[in-house]
Amino acid sequence: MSGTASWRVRGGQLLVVSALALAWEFAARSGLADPDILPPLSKVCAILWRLLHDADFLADVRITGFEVLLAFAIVVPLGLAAGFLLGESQRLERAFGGPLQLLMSVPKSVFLPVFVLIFGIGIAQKVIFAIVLAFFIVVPTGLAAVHSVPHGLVVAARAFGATRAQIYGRIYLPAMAPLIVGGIRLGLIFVVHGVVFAEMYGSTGGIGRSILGWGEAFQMDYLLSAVLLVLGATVALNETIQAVETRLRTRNGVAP
Amino acid sequence: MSQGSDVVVARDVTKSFATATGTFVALDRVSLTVPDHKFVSIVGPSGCGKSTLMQIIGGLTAATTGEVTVDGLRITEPRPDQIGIVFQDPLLLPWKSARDNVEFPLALRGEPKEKRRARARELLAMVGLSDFADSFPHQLSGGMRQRVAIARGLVRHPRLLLMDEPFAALDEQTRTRMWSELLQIWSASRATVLFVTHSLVEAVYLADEVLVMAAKPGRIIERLAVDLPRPRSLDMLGSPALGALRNRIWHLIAEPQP
Repeated sequence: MSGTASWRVRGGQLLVVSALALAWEFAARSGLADPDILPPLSKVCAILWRLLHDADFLADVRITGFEVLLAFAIVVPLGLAAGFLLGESQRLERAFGGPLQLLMSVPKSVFLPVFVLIFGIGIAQKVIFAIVLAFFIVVPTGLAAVHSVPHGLVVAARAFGATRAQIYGRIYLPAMAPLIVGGIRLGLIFVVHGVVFAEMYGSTGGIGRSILGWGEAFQMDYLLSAVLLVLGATVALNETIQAVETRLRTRNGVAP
Repeated sequence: MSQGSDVVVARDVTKSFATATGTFVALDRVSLTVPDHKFVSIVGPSGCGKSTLMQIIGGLTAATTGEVTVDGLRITEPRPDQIGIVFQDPLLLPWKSARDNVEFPLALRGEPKEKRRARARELLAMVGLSDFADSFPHQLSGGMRQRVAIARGLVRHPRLLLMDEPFAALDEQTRTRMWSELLQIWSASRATVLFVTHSLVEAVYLADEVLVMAAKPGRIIERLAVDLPRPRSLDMLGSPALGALRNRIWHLIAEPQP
């Protein structure tokens, strides 16, 4: 994608988002939508601003952030390493490829009650649930990363005297980089998903619990402001990592 | 021609694979010699095992039986100090510049940067790409990419340069231009070249000798000396001598004697 085309797409996206925001504001103010269910965007933003200065809410944000980081730091290396081993060993892939496919298709959320019974409603439960949820997304990415290494480049490197370690470091790693970053991105998104979801199911703290609480108290303005925060943070992280991914893909001569 | 002046000696090289329907013999007792400083082509129909033979000589694949020596040393693994290889696909590292790709075999040995730079500069000049040292493979044309691959193949001063259908993917005009350039590079580098192709004209035009192969099983059926004068010029492509050799090879391939 050329630079100008990319800016045109960005401009288009900005236009759509602005139109949606305006439509939201208009629908709420004109009475088209029930303001109890859909309070105006401006009000939601004002509450979000207040919340960001509220010590209790910030404590919840910190808890969620900590859980996300912990789960992320565990699941991404674990998932990528597992995917790498599966991709490198035909025997392992034959043995575990099938069960992995099976487990991927199982909705993990149905096991949440079991997780709560085993791990309680503390941080461990949320981190472990998020890890399980993200693991089955990151592993296939690691697997795809190994399969994306062009065999010809490995042969050529061997012909020029590369050792096994050099083949991994100088061919595998750079060739796999775009998909590794892709795995990091997906891991992060699913970890956020897992943590917030687990917090909503049963928790003593975190943004998820706040969202659930406001929902039950029918405080849509507060609920939506927290949703907006999670949404904004996830989109920003996703876009940033995606930009790195696209850059690596271009560098590797693959059309983004 | 004495044994001592041969860079490559292959003796009774056989390569067979087990398949569902039995044993497939890709190469059947192939013996050949490549004299020092010569340009030798191997030509044959697809499936005659010429690429497999290249891989065995390059140390990338093991022969089932028989042996290959290069410069007197038995080949059991890649010998980048003696053998440079140019593949059909340039197989450049897409994330490295032309210069870094040429330097790659030196970087693998941990040679100091200054030395690598100097050698890469020399070779890029030799293949006419001095102005493209900082370009990345996707910014280069097919012919330029293959020239970078040739420079990389020569970077460690190998005695032998193996070229496995390096111009097969290029268009006719680019390929013809590459012939002249390759011959210039060859005479400048003083390396011995073993060049695999399925193009009869290419095999004859470039080489001092042509080895003709047949398929099922893969074997060498003839060895022909090319007595065209050097330096070659593209005008020779229309010469009767070249035409006669080309036709002779064509008949050998079209009607192989069992």
